[in-house]
Amino acid sequence: MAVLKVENLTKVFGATRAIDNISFDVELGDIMVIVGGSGCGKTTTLRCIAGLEDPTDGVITVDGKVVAAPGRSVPPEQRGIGMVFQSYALWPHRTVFENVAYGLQRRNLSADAAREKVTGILKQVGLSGFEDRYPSTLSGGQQQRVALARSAVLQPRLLLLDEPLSNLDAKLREQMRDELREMIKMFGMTAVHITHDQAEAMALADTMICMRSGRIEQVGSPREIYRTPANFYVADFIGACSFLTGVAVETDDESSTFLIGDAMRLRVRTRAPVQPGSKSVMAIRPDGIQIGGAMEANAENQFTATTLRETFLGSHSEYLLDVGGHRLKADSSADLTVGQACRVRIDPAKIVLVPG
Amino acid sequence: MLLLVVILAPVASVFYGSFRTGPPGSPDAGFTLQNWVTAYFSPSYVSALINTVWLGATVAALSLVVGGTIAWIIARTDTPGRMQLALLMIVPLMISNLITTLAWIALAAPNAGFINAYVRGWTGVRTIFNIYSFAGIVLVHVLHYASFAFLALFAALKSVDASLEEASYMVGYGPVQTSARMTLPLIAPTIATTFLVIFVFVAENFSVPTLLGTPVGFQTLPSLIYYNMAVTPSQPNLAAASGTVLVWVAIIGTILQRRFTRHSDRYVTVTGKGSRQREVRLGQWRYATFGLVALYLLLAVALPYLALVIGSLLNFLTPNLRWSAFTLDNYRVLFTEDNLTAVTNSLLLAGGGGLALTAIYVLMSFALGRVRGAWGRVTDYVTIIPTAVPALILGVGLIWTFVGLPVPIYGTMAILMIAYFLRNIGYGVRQADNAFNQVSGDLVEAARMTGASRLRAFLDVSVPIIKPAIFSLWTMLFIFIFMEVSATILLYTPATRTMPTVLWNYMGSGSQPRAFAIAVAQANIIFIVLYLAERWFKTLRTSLDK
Repeated sequence: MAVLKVENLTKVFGATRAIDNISFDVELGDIMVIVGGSGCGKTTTLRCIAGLEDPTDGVITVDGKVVAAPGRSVPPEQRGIGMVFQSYALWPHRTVFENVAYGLQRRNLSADAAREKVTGILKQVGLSGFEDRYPSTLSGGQQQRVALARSAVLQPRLLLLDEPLSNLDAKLREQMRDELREMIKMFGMTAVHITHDQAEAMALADTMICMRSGRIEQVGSPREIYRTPANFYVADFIGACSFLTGVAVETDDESSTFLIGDAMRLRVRTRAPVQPGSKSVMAIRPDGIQIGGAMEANAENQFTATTLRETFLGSHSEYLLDVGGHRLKADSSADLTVGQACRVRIDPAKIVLVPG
Repeated sequence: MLLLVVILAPVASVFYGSFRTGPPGSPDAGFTLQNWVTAYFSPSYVSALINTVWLGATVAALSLVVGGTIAWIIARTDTPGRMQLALLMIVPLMISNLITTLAWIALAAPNAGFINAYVRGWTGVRTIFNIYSFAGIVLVHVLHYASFAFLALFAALKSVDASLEEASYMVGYGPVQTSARMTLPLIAPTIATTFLVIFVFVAENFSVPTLLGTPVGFQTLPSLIYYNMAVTPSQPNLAAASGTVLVWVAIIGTILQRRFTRHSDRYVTVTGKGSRQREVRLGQWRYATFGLVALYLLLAVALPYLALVIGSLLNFLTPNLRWSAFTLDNYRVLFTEDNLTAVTNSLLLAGGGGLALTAIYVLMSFALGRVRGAWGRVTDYVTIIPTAVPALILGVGLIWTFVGLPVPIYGTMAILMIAYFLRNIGYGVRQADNAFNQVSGDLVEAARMTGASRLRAFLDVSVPIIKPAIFSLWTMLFIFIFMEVSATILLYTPATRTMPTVLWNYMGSGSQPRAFAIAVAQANIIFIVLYLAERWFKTLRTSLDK
């Protein structure tokens, strides 16, 4: 069942179309991550869902109830949606307990019941004993958990997260990313999370939306988007990627061979027939290239490469390789030195043809 | 719209009146250009204009030197007791320069002044320093406005991103060259703005040159205007015409100042936390710098206060402090019926009126904040007009606006409140704006996302957060109103007299010790208010941070 339905949403600011006619659904219990660069419209989308911004056009339905439609808008406080802000927006003049309890004051709850709920949720997010502290005395990670608890205690039908990890330093960000996913799942909430960080998006999402210039480029699971990017932009934006342009010289039902430059021949597993003689762009992920081993006779997609650059990352290295005059990115723990020659093999199944 | 009328009517009536032969309402008044000819071309008026500009420029420059040096000492060196000195540095600005003038008359009047008498006993020099002089006027103003320059430059020095200076050190420049090549240009817009603000304040001040300049034939435009308004036979239309000259001076100053302020946005270097500037280690010299700041505070606060207290306990102003010269009569007079009215009026206007104005400015800021676009900008500019119009002229304008109206406002506290409202509108609305800007939109939106309505969110989130700023605004308005004399002097009646007007009249009638007693009372009340405000709302501390 779709908890959130967004249909033909459009938002115009002056002369710019911040959101240009987008539609998507979010299923119950799913974490939907909208990812895109700055100015792609992800923040505006989130604010339209929250009710902090009124759409120019389109319909937003939460839990079967229309909350925004042309000429009609339910104010944010009546939408039953929770939100975690980028700055966390914890009220500096209220203690942790008061921050979390604030929303409950308007529910018809006894003081004891409210206290029990707040204490319970703080325990769940690991902040027992912090009730009387003020937000300014908490670390970034703790503030984020208070912000989450403040929304979660109201058991919203939908939780919105506006880049809540972007204020944390790298190490903590990774840790909180995993905790955040666990906590959202623990509370059984449906969530829409926006971020500009593609790694964060892949780690958090059940479903991802890639946005650019107010439009949706692709919707899918993180695996789908990484392995079969719909176009050049998505392939480039999500994960590392190398691109080659070639002309199809031999084609059959399952694969085609492309001539890249004068001498490099590359066989590619294809899902749709390719017109012989047509030009295509191929996207190759670093994990589609294997480094090492001895040259085999008659093996396909086998090349000699030279190492141009190595970035050592501990568990493995990222290499920039020169393959027949083309530059390709590959990951390996082969410990090559710069300038060293090696053999590479490119898996035909891990090459994707992307429309320009 | 009503706001526009209230703001513009007094200014318009001044311009109208300046072309008339008699005050508004007089039957045989006609149109004339004579007032303008006199005010713009006659030698005495031209020389008063030159005096005004020259005085304003001298005071602004010297205040910047004194205030700037102290700001550098406190912001950038390891001088002992910096934080306490910084708080004390605000005090001179809170004591009106009328009171400082009185104190310095007690200290440096040609014969009877305490300093002159003391030095004469030592050296035989009859008068080492005569306060009744151009130098005396400059001294009193500089003691007051150095504090203002300090606040502005201290904030600017604190906000310069430390890494900009560090980058200059790293490419090989020493502290002196770094200051000259990096720091000074970075705070140059602040220096220019501060110069102009002080210039405009000094140019419109009438009380100091009237008390210290008129006896020796030194006139500025404001003192001349006051003379034309208050001394019989009064020439209000001529006063209005010369008032228009002063309006131009003030408007040019304000426009230039706003231009510099807009310019300074480019230099915004505030990075907030984590940028601590390098402190200059002074070694033994740090006691000298401490002494320098202490000397300023001595001259601007301690010595004047002492002189006022002693002077207020004397039968008449004399340096011969014999027991028989002392009396408590001056304070007893404070509690006679007439003066008690002034005390209650002052406290009522400053306390109750200040609170009312605080509420009005906050509501105006809230309302103007929601009016965006062209109309908002118009209102924004309109609110600075009354600030640019000299208080005396505002007084004249208000008389003429309301004296003809059937509404019985003239001669009541209401007309004083209108004057105070107009005088402080620019400051008040800006402070309220700053307060609202402290509340980030996220905090309010977060409240709405947990189910609070727009009003609830305003009450639960915005109001508690801006509360200290609101109380600080009230404190400042209390002090401004409590000290106000320039507009009040033309608008008060016996029933609506205030402490500064009574003080002024005692000075006029030669009862200096009685004026001193009122000044002491005023200063004490200000000290108490400041102390409480600092204690409860950290008012002084926050004004240092800005």
